[in-house]
Amino acid sequence: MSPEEKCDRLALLLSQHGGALALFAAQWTDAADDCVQEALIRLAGQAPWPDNAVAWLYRVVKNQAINQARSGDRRRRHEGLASRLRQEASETGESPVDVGVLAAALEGLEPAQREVLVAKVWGKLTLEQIAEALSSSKSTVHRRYEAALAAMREKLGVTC
Amino acid sequence: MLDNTNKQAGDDSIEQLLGSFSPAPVEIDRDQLMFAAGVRAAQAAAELPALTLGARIGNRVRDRIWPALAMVSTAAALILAVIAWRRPERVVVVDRLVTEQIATNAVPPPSHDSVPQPQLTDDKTPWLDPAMNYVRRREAVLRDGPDALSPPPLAGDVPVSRAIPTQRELLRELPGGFGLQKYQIDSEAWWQSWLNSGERL
Repeated sequence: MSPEEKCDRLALLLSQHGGALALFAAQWTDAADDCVQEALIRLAGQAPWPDNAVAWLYRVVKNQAINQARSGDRRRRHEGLASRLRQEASETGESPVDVGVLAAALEGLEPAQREVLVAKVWGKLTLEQIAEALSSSKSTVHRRYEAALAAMREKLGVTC
Repeated sequence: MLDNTNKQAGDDSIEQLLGSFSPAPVEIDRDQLMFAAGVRAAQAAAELPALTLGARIGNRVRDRIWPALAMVSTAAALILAVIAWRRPERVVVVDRLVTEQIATNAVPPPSHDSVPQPQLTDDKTPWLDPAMNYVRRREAVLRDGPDALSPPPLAGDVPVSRAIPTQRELLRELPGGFGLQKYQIDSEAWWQSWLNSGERL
């Protein structure tokens, strides 16, 4: 793959997954943008190109964010998550849940469940991609996702 | 079944609620990112052939050095085996000084009537013959001179036939009674006397 081709694909990945990657990194660090940028640059230097570039990016972003959290000042992470989420304009009107409440509910989840939920809901990754990104099995990812949904339903008071 | 239906409905509602939120766009300088990514991609593309060439040479050496050493050692082992197989058998001569007198006095002669005597010598084992023993013959030569190497006289009255006459016999056969002079040979004087005698005519 030529360098020009790599840059084109990086631009596409950035536009499609940049926000979700930053939200994913915000679970561990406040410097989520730096983590995403560094992961994209590292992806440009990969030869050969990874088979599943999206899963590879999520794995690298997670490692970068954990390293950032260890080395830098740790801020309140729920503020980071809240700043990374925004409410979509909906035809049905205002959402019954505030962004801060949602971020606090996310913060209350177990880390393993939260990262699966973020990757599945906002990253639009499949269970196979999440399993590859988190170096886990598909069944484990599915179980964590179900547990995260149940916990969020309870925290946000969503009834059936 | 009902639980599964309710659970599915609950999952859908919470997923719809979560889906009503979206991640904020990432705040990254796109131009800077593309520049850094292009530099990194170009570096990777430039380093790849060199690494490939070095890795290729290293792999070639590493893949061939051990088979080559194994072949050399195998060939050396085969050559040594052939040399050892074709080498003549080593003959070791051991000098054993055996005194016949002591042996005859120490060991009483066996009774020839009661015990059958084994055949010690034959054509295939001449070295077992005491008369052909190297040590004894060497002692005889040292004691009696080269004449001791003459073959032993045959038993009985069988005359000895010689195909080649000796020097003494040839001298005796010369005309003019020259053989009686017993080795006092002066070739010039003999030729003169022989020519003057006229016997050649």
